[in-house]
Amino acid sequence: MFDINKVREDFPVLRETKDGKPIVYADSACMALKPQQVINTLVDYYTKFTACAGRSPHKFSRETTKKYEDAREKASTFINAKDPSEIVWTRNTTEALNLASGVLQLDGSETIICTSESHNSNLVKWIFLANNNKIKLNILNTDKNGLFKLDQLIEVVESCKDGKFVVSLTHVSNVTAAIIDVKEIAKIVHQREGIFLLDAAQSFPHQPIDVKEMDIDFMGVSMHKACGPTGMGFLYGKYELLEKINPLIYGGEAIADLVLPKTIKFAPPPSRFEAGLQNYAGAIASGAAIDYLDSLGIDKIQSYETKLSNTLMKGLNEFGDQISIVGPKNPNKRVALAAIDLKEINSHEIAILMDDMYNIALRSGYHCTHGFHHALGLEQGTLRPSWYLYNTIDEIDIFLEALRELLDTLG
Amino acid sequence: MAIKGLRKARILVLFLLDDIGELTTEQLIAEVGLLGINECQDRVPSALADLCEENLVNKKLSKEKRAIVWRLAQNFDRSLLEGI
Repeated sequence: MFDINKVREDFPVLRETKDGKPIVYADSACMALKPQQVINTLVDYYTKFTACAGRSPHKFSRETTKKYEDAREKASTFINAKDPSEIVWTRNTTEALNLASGVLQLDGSETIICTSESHNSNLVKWIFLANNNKIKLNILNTDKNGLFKLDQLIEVVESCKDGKFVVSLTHVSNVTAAIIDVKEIAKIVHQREGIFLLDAAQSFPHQPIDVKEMDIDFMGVSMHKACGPTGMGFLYGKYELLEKINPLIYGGEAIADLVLPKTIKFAPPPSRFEAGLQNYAGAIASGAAIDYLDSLGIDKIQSYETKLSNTLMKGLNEFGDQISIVGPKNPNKRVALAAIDLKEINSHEIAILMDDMYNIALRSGYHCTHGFHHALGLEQGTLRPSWYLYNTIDEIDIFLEALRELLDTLG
Repeated sequence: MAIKGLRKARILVLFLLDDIGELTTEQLIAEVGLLGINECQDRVPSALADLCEENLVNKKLSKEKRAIVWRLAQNFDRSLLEGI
């Protein structure tokens, strides 16, 4: 059973009030709140055994090393990777996807296939490389319902199969909220010997992911969206592919040895990609965040959030033509967030008023999907409430009521 | 699948101590280096300290060698090394 009242007690920030009123936090697609269990782990690192991992022989360092590697193992188990060495700690999904791009030779012969609703983290680098003739880029159009045509993907992939290609997709869009069929797409890609890269920033915190069953080659995750600390994420990569890619950052820890003037002997993955002192507290606390999600049960979290999604969509549908929702209409085909087109009203105005008048924290604007908003003509941006495991149906009702009042006032 | 650096260093150290007997850290690092471990040799001292804490390895200070001398614990279970 998912006990929402007990869950909420784990999040100290939810006790905060402003002008005597509680905060309604609806910005978890950007940054999730942190449970006390994660905060305690961060404090423990800084108060009990602060050190660098893997190098010094003293007790603090060895404890840091053990906990750092334990956290890696937790991440590996959580997504059913073959081995912890397939997990590389990064700052976020953006860094993970950039690191995975090292699989490319950049000789102009390779094709990247992605979709228009992708986050900038999964678009900007590809567009930059294409503009510099390093790759060929094919961006499939996603419509306002959050769908791209699978037939079109097959057609493009078929045309690339004689050369190297990478299909880089978003598991769950941070705007359309649509969930793609990863297993089916991986099959299409691998039948034609392509590489499948997945942006799982918006799916990892909310639903089970089995990288073996889904046959994912590379996957980027942001721990800060999954109750983990800020500035932490990871790249999952099949080991045989990780072995082929060059580091993004060069330095200590990434090498086994160096003989002057020019002989570098790189360490194997994942060390090869973790040059320099790392965010040890962050990685260890990421392990605590995974423990936390595990303790609640990721299936139960998903099922609870489907109820939130149903409530949100049902409430928003009652606004009729006053607003329109980007993404699928069926609440079961989306996660518990909604990008709302307020038509003539600028999304930032409503977001500021929601914060000022109702203590509702949410996001407005383009949500790092500028290209998609421009393509759909959503120049006023969209208002995006995004809900997570600590939110309640009552909070969604508060949001809907506030939106009703503000649209009546401005409308 | 590669074994993560520290785990690899631990395993190699155990094999070396099993094969050669008493060794100093300096010798261990050299021997591990000769075996071509594809990891930073600075991992060896941490691996030794961990193994000692887990009672798999013993240490004593040798004034003669001016170093710590490491060896497998007397009750070390060699079956731990089988199949690696």
